[in-house]
Amino acid sequence: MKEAILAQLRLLMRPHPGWYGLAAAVMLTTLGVMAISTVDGVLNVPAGVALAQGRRWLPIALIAMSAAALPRPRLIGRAAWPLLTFALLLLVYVVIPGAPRVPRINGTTAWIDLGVMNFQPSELGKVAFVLAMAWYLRYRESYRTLTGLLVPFAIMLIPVALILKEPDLGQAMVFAPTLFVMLVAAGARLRHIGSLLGIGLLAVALNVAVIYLDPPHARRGGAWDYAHVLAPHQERRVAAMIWPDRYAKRDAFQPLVAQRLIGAGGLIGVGKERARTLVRFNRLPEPHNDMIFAVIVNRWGLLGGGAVLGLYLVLLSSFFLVAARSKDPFARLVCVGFGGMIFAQAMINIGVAVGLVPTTGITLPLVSYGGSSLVATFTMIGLMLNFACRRPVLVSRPSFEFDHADPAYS
Amino acid sequence: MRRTLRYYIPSMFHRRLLLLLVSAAMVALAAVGQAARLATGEAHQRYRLAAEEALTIPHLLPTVRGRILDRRGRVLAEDGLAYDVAVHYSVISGRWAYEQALAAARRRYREQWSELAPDEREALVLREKEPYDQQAEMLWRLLADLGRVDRAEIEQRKSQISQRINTVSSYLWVHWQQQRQAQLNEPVPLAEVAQPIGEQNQAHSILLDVDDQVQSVVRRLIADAQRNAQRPVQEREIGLLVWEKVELLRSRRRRYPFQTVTLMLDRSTLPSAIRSPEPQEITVTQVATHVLGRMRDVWEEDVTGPNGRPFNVNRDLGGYLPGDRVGSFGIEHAMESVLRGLRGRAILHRDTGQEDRIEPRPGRDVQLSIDIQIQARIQAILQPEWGLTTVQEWHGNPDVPLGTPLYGAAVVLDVDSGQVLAMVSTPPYPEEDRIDAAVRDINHPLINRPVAAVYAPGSTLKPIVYCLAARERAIEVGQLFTCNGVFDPRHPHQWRCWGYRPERGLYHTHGSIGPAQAIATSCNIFFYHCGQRLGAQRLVRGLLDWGFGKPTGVELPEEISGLLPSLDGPNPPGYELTDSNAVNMGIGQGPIAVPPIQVAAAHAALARGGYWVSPTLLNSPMPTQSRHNLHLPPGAVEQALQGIYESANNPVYGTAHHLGGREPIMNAPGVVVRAKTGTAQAPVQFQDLNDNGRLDAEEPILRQGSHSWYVAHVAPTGHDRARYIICVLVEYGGSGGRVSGPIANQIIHALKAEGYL
Repeated sequence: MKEAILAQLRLLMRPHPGWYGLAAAVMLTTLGVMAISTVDGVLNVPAGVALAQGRRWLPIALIAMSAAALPRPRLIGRAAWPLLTFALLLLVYVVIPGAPRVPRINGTTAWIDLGVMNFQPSELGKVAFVLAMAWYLRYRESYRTLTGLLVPFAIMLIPVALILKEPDLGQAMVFAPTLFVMLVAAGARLRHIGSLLGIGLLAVALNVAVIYLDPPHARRGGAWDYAHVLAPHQERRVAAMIWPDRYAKRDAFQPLVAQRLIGAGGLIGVGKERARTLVRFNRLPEPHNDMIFAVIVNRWGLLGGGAVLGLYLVLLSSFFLVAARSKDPFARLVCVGFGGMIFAQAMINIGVAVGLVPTTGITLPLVSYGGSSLVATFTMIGLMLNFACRRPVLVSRPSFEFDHADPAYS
Repeated sequence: MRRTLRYYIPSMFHRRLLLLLVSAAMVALAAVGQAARLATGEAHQRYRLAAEEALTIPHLLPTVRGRILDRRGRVLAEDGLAYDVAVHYSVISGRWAYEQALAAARRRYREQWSELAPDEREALVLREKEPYDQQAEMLWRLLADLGRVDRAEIEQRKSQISQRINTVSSYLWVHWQQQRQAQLNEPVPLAEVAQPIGEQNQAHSILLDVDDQVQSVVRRLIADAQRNAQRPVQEREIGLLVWEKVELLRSRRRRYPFQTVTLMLDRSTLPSAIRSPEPQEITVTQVATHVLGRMRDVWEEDVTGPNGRPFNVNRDLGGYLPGDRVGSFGIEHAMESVLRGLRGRAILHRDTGQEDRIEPRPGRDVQLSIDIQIQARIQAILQPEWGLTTVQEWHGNPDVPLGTPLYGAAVVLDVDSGQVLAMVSTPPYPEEDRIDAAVRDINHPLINRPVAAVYAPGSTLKPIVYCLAARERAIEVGQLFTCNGVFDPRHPHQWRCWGYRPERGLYHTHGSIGPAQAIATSCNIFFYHCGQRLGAQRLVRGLLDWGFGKPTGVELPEEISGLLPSLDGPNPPGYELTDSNAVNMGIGQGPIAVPPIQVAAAHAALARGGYWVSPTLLNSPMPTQSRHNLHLPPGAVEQALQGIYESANNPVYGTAHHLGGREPIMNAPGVVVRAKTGTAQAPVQFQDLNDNGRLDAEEPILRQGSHSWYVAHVAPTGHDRARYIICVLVEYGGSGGRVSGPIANQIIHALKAEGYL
């Protein structure tokens, strides 16, 4: 056993693109700790969160990462479905009204109180979902047909529905892009994906149109009532993007303050103390969490914001390179899925902060304060490192190659 | 392209990864682009300023409104420091008890709370509410005791506050709605703008201007409540909770120290019928209120109206904010800009703790030309209980029953300066709580009669008409006319002299009569001729020149112009520029009705020898008075002044000389009085039951008869030129000499008593 672990560690030490990803992740986390320290103890941010993130959660996350780097991929694959089942059970548990040790935080029952920490089952669910989906898709071709796409979507809907029940729209929102990325990588037909995306966009457009024509502040009633699908608070958040002035004191408050601070940051930012003061007196909600990007741009300016986005791209490309180098279909899809999931979450968060996406409570992975999220993300990175260091199986059927351009693959 | 791609990247999986990576880069680029849009150029500047604005807290520093002084420097109005006991609006509205009960219910049922249905929660809240309601009730009772007022009065005060806030909020909401609609260019429902207004988060005064003892009781209770609030929730004393919502508000209240004056007046100079050797103590209230004006809460028009003065922290610190007090009428209104002052501003930088201050600039004082003692004395003289303004036997007034109170106006003008020494209107301005009733009072106590009510000037106009006719050479300066009772034999009933009433057996005529005697005897025929010879055009033009029919420019916003036929416009029926109207206007009747200040100013011009100066109420700041020469022939002025001298001093035919029974009107020693009476036909005042504007058979007559005028030119003995003009008008008083004369006499005594004569 000891030998095996040592062998694996030696394998891990080999140079491979996973290291860029880890470096980017550590830099993002460091940037995050510095950004959190900017707002440590400001407004409703408890004092000492930066320290907790850097000294407690980061080591735990790194340990989780190391642990994830050890087991053989096959073992991980086998554990995928049981893990997802376990995550789903936990998700069912937190939505049971009155379940013990489930605190209600910000109106959401998304956590389980483990005594030492609050654990967020949806984070586990995200990891398990990607693993299970990759395990499911790895040898199939069914998703190359439109009907074959239904099963992956049906699988996705179970955790999404449970997370929506908590309710935690932000977490639920990252599942769909992740699945799309995985399906695209796995070789689903682009016209199918395009049609589905088109339907999705159409649904979004229809909802926006309904909100535009029958806005929450001037509901006409009657037949119009049937046109509304979104919850009233969600509609208000969309409306807040259309009419920011009108919702300035309510639903548009958070994005408007975030945009103000981003705008105030300018090219090189205002520095730590000034940023702290500005965040405090502009009353930026959730500055250590959902709105950390605004803090970053305010403190380090556009350069800081650009750096964050660049690091995410590095991280994503690292995941993709590992996938590209790997021959194991499971590892390939897992890496693509994790990369896509982290990137999608980051983009949704940043999109909210800069005012391109309606407000959703979602953290900036690696950067925002939060133990579960950090541990989950580093677990993903650990798995990616795990796959990166495996020697390619010499004789293996190339996976996800349905377009045989090179005779080598046919 | 696709082929090339396939050539270089044969693996489909790799191409898909590239596709995803490129898509990701584009998404990231969009995010960077949007961030760059916010953080560069003009947007960056705008956001930077907006973000930094949040670091500052501007405070406004209150200013002090200027004082109003009388001509001798006595303070008539000033901002005084007062303490009010104020209670937060949530307690007044009952919201506080509900919120407390809600918090208590949540504490008690913490475990189940999130699972309860709204109506179950409501039931639990109502169960908890009882003790808080009781606390609120105890607060009101204690305040009633402390303020020595009825519990019902407290309730009335509360409902007034609620009403005011409702009015203000609905007003504001509509305003916000309109603003928002204009901004968005689309309809906006009221519900969307119906946010709580500032007043709903403030304490409101329940007990006004409380004394030291009440202050100390309230202070102690508030301190106890604050200590109570420090304790853990379970240990708090419930009885003190409501006191957290009570404040002792330091407020500035406008005080009018001479609002009530008690005087000891000599009755020995009154007409013999009511004369007494014993002086009488008389208390007058609302002294000079018509002139000084009062304060009111700011209106929307003051802020956004056409002449509005909106508050702007950068441009106008004196601009109006909701809740400000503003002069409502009178001098308080007219001199608002002088009195108001500018607020100060302090900007606290929250990050550094520094404060930028602009100190408030106090309002400037306004000194009036009014002498408040004279004003008070005249008001006492005009008060019905003094006896001169109730219908008396000697008035010989057949139209009004004896003892009926009469109301009117008096103005005292300083001839040299045009300054108003006193301006009194009765009935006096109503007390604050009676204003609503006063609006419907047929005696119109809200109206400041000297400037805001019109009366036919009657015979007081005669010397002026004569001077005009002489100036225009319509008559000779010493012209004689023959008075045989009737002006035009073709219309024997239309234009007659006042003593010629054949139907009552009166055949008094004046025969051949010159101007001075005509004025002294107030012969109508002479002035009919003057009017006729002048013609309507010239007469009206001349009267305008004398300051009739247009505001005199006295500093009261209530001043009206009076009625005269227009020279250029079409005139309403009865106001045409016809010869018959000219004849009537010759004796101050017909289409002419003016406020008493115009009559006083015109007589002052006559007393100056034909130089018109606009009357003023101001001593400082320096008033801007208009003045012009009337270019009267000196001989005419002499004749006119001689006429009014004889009118007051000739015991045989002077109409302003005696009461009935030959008792002289004037009895003040050491003064020379010239005077002209007027008995002007007044419109019948009736209760217009069917609102048709006409008197119908079944409608009761409220007042009828004539308005009584008396204009006196007074000078100390030895002075030729009059020093003061006293103009007295009594509505429906009847004879000018008998009713207004004794009042003018008492005013002369008052001027003597105060050292003016």
